[in-house]
Amino acid sequence: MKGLFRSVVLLLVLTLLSGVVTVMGQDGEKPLWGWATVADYEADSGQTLPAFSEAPMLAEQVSAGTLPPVAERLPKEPLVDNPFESVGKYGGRLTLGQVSAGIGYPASNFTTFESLFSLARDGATIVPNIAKGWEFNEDGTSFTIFLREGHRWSDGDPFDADDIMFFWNDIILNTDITPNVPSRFSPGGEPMQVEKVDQYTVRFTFAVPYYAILPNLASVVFTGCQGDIFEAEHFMKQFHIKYNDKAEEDAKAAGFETWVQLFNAKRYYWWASRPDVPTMGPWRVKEMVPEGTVLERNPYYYKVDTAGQQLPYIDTVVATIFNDAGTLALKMVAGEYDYQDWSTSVADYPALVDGAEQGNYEVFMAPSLWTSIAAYSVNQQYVGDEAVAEILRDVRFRQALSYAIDRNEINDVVALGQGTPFQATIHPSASFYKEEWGNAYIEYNPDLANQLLDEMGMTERDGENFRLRPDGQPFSLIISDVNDAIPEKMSELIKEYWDAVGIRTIVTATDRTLMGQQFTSGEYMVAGWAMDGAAESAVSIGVNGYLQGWQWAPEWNAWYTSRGAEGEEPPENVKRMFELYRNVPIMSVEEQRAALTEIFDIWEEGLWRIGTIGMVPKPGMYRKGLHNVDTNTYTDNADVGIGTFNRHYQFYWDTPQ
Amino acid sequence: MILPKWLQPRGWFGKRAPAIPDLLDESAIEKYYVASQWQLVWRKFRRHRLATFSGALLLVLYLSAIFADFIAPYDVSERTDFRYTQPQQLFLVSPSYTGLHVFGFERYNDPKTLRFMYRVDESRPVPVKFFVRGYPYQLLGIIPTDIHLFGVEEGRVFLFGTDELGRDVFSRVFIALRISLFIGLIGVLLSFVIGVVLGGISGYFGGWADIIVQRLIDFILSIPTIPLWMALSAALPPHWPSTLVFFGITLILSLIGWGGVARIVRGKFLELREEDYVTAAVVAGATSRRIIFRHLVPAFSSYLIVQLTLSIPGMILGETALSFLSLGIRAPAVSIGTLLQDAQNVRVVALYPWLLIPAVFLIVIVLAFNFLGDGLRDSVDPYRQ
Amino acid sequence: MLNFIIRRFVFIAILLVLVSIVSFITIQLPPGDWLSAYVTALKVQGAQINEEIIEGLKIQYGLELPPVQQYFRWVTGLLQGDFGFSFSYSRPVADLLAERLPATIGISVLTIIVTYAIAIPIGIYSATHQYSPLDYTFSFLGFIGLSMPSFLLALILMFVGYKYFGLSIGGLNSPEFIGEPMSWAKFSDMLAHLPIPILIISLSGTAGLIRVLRGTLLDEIRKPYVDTARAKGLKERVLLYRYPVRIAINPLISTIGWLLPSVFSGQVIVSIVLNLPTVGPLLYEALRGQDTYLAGSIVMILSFFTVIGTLLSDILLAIVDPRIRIEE
Repeated sequence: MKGLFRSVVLLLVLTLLSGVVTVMGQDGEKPLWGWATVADYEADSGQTLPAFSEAPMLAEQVSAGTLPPVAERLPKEPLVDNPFESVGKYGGRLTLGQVSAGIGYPASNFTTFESLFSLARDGATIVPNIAKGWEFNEDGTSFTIFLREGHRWSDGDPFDADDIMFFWNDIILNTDITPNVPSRFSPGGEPMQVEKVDQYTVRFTFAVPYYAILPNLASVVFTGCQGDIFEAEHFMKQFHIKYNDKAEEDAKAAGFETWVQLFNAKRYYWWASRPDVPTMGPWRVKEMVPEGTVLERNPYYYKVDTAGQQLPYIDTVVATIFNDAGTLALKMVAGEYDYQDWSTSVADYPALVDGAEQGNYEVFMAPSLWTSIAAYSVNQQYVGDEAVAEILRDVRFRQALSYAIDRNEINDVVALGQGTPFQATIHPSASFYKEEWGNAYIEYNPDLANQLLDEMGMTERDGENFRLRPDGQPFSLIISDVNDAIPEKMSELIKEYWDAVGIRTIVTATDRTLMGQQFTSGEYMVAGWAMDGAAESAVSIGVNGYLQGWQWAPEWNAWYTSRGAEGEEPPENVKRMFELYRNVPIMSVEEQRAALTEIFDIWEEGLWRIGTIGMVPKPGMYRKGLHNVDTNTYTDNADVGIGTFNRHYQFYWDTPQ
Repeated sequence: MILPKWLQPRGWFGKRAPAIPDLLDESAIEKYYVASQWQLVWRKFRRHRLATFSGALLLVLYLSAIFADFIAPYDVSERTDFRYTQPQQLFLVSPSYTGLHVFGFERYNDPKTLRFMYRVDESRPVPVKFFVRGYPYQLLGIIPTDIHLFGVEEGRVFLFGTDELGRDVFSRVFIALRISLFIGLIGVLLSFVIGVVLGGISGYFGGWADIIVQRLIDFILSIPTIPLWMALSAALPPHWPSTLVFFGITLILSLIGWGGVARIVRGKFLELREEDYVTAAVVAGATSRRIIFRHLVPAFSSYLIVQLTLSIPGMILGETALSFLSLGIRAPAVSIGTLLQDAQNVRVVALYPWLLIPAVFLIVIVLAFNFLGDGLRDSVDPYRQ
Repeated sequence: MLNFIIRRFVFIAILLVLVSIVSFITIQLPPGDWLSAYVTALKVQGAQINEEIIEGLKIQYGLELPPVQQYFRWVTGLLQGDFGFSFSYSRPVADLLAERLPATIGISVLTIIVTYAIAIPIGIYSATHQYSPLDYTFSFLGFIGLSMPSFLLALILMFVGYKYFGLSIGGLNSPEFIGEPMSWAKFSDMLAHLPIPILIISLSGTAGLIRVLRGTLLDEIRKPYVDTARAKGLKERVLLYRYPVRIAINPLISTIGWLLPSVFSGQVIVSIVLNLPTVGPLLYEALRGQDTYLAGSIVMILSFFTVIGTLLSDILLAIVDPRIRIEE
């Protein structure tokens, strides 16, 4: 089995996903990841792993008799992690910052996130993680997951096939909690079959070949984790009506209305950690208070370093909550965080460098996978006014808007010259990337823009010299600028460019709430949002909304997601794009590339989303004396998942306090 | 009671010369006794140096707001590549030139910090001239012209530096004053109209009218302002042009702000209602409307003016708070609030502090209104010596 | 007196009903609802959501009810002490409030105390030493607080505090004390964090109070009875503090209740910037995310405190100043 497993890894390394490897060029000697098991490590390196050891704070508990010894806490075959720079030492505290206390991307969760499979540092190679291996059958219609014997939750309870079975049978198939089986678990439109082969083996069976299940469980777009494919069965049963007749009353007593609410409140989502709930991650939540979240090490964490030390190195993590991004940046400048790469803006880079000496920290610029820091989706089914909708549907109009944008100036203002003028398309690291996609319509050519608009018949002007509609009525283009989703100043500039070619443009700040509703109802004209999800890894698993009409064609999107039952049938080229994309997850690698090439050809011609500048690096900082920090890793969300983020469990202090 | 020394009163609670004329000058006495109320007020007001100065300052600021286009050398939304330029120094005499001038400069990027840096070229003086031609505008909204107070013919003059988009902060501040100063004035007028009418009804009629108005005020004052702001701002349609948004926001501020005014007016009405001349008017058969507007309102109009002066800063500040919550004036229109919203980040405070200049203007305006109000209060009370 | 209090209580009940209706409407007024925000968040992550899932979520959270029914459901809950359920936190509103109310009330009370502690001495000094250099200095400093928007003042003070005095930035506790039980070390750490927030929130109210106190005191000390008392040989200090100051402080007491709303509202913005664990940022977030019951309950509670505060200051005023009772 091991041989098969290896060859599958190798195959995937070579073929499945992208050449983000370019990034690895300059530090190719840094380890991509570790080894699935001790045996793998020893076979690979020819060395013998020293005896397992543990943090002093756990050793105390062991000698006090409150905790079993480390060898009993680790699974039979722990994962051997290869530290980024060096084997570390135990102790200390890590302070992070996070914006927003509710739904968001709390820094604390990057530290506790753990998925069945993971991505190596290149953001592309899929490697074992919680599961020690996997296996597809010949035609990709069945997928087997191999778990680790003796693996335990943070409360010491065994982690095994039952945790996946509970998730599937009692959460996904329970219509109170999940009214519909998510489509990513229903390849070919049929829910997959889940079967427990033995205590440590689970098999998924699909109606059609479904290779994308692997990246789907490998932390790409934050999947494959607790709450997404497994759940702590022993803990969650007490809140489930099937196992507890009093679940409904318990929920009412706790201030909830239904048992489902209490059940969901106890679930451990990656974006909302919960205290008391067992976890698989390197730290567990010790305390959640309005000021922030306190995490302490998980004594049952399953990874060891090459010296046999159980990870993580750092004892506690404190994530303080900030409601104002400005204050977060100020705290970074003041060196009050030990590590921060999240909720940062490139505009703050000079201030960060300026404060580095007094604040005793290092600054770095992390690369980005977003091909547009802001992209403008032009609604193809605007419901406000048919004549306006007609204009928005004219591809010449969208081309004119794109030519009217001075991307070099945007780059200078928004990204201090560090980005690249780019169209909203796939990332250049993709194996099937064509240069013409990224360069389509990005030159700054107001004359051409004016010419295209004239051709459309928008030649008449009003008193303020703005163009009238072809039918002679006044015209204004409204940009719905989603708060916080794109850099400040971006839409202000875009407005100036479009005004300059005679299109009266109005920017309105719109909340995510309202925007979400408008994305469905079609009551917006142009919406600004980052071109995220542009990496090959994210595109290949088939969940990217923008290739399904999301944000730029509400009716076609509805038609696609309802399989023709609702919405409006799109024109041939769009239909072709949608159909191809629907099948991408179940294709072989070669088919996938051909399909995605065709998809992005159609995408380029359509120009439904107008890109600005892409690959804008994001600044980060870490306190001097912190080690194993990868300053060349992606810090974008959603694109490549948490696997590529810095592995906080490898961080260690020179002199722990 | 033992008090710190500085809190212990001095004899006569401080000294102040009375505002009565020199008793030896008979014509002065004559003038004093025949002077109208407003002449007396003016006489007393002039004695408050700080208040007089504040009044003059505000007059200058309002005038420069009205003539902002003339004072501003550049269009408020004119972008340049000179981002985050420091305020330029004005020279009268330098080795290379005599006469008012600044120096030319060029931009380079610091490779380490990525910050935009500027090299001042002392060999390249840029003369600053008065009444030069610049961007076209309409003086007072009617006279089309392109003459500006000052400017340069070649190169650039940024007396207050530039912002992120390379726009002239000096020009932006003066254009912003226009909106901020008038939002205060109009907003206060609006809330006074509401406040005086409702406060007057409540105070004069008393009884049920009083109870209803009082509870209405309690109600408005007891709801936290943030949700009200957010809800009302969300109700402003996005396609409204900036002038309508301006009036919308003014209306929002005054709808929330009238409660305090109404309370003060009511108190004053309650007090004045008992005066003999009101009773006399009632006995003489005057209607309520006549009594309110003929007798009562004039009796405390001076008092109202004082309160009005003191309420304007609150409105101006309210606008900045709205802008902080991204609910205020929309670009390209600028107000002090939107300028300060741009300054609300660590890079400005740490590296580009000149973007805080609008805050200096704000402080000066608020201080001036308060000193003016205090001075007016002291002056309008005919019984106070 | 008792009659007066009873009457006020009846009004308070009516007022709170009105507040509950209006706050519910204002929260429902902007288009969109929590669910659409949530669905957007999921879609951004690439999840496929169809109508059936949305319907399921609606039923689960009771959002399928018409607004009027939602309102009654919420209000009946309020009467039984059940504040409802926060959608975005997936927790009962009462829990969230319980975490934050102590800090909110503590900071508000401290703010009011500090406001008065600054305003009363300065007001008395300014009135008795009118037009002296210190009078101008104090007025000027007070007005700076009034004229600088609190969010900007907060940011600048934090930066200056860090850059030149090495003070830590924002929050109520250093990271090592977050989540720790209260101890002497934590308490002193908290004390070290308090000055900037308290100063900023109180500064905006201080200037107004100084002006009111100075004005009324100036009026009072020019009254004939003061001259009479002085003529009779009463010591200046006794004369000042026994009569005019007492009378001049009355309006301050009566406005304590009115100070509450401005303290609460001022706190929201300052708390967002300074990261204070009060209900302010929670309210702002809930309003933006249309987390109806959370936002509504916070508005209700803040209004409730304000109304009670106003009542208390009315009663206080009636006790301090017997003339008020005669008027009533």
